[in-house]
Amino acid sequence: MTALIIVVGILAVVGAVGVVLSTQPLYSALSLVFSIGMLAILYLILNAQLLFAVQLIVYAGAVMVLFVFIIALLNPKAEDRPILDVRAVVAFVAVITITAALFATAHNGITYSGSNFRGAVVGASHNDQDPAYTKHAFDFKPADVNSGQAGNVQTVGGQLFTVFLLPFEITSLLLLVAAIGAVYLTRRVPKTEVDT
Amino acid sequence: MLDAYIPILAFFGICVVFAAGVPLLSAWLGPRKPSPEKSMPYESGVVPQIGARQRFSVSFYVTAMLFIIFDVESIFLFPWATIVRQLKIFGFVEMVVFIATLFIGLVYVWRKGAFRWE
Repeated sequence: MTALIIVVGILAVVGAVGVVLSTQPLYSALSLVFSIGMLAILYLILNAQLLFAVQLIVYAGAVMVLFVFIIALLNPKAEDRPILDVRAVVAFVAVITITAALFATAHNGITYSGSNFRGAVVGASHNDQDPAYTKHAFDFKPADVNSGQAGNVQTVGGQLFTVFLLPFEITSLLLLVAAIGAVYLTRRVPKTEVDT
Repeated sequence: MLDAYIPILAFFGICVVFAAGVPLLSAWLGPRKPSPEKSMPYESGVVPQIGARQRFSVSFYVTAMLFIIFDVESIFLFPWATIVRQLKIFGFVEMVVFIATLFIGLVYVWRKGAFRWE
């Protein structure tokens, strides 16, 4: 299984490098689809089935359609190959630093537990003694994290619709704002407004 | 645990073999007599007037944006559907509130004519 993670991870990085190195924007978009797909497989290996489905349906599907439409809208010409100068060196150092910091954080293990941040083993964020998980009045038992059920659809749904009810409902407001904003920004301006 | 995904992996494998095999088979078996007319982009039998690399209307962008919004809405229905019986009436009500909020958006977008293609 570790070998599978390494192979899929390397393929994801290959896709990401393809996004940067492609001179044609559409090839960058295709590389991004590949990279997103490989990340989805990583989620699946790590028992996050819902995240896998969301990654494919929302990111590889909907968001990539949006990207391609933006490319079609702006119709950019092929880009020049990236050149090595001071900016490239600074960016390279920054990427290395952030990656190292991410790895260090993941190694120490930081999870968000509702009221505060605390160190914990990654994947073991559920705790029966934690009041955030026990105070809801529903007979819903989150699955044991060690049984490989931590990220499956029922477990995520059980948390989402009970403990994280408010963020879930706020999501609908966020989507409402996005819908109104999209229509408003691309509205047809009446002729008289343009003239004045 | 990953054994359950072997049929899906086999499905993807068959897809890749088929997608790569058909063009290869066509290149191997098919006769090739190129002519300038055959090399032209096929435009439903009509001679192309302009290049295909035109700027697209912003209407496509709006459609894609609205698609994402209601796509994300539908995503939330999947985890909800798996546990709707355990959540009982409370889960039903919260999903009604969620969908009603987005229904306001749908009505707004509809009334603004974003679904009309001009």
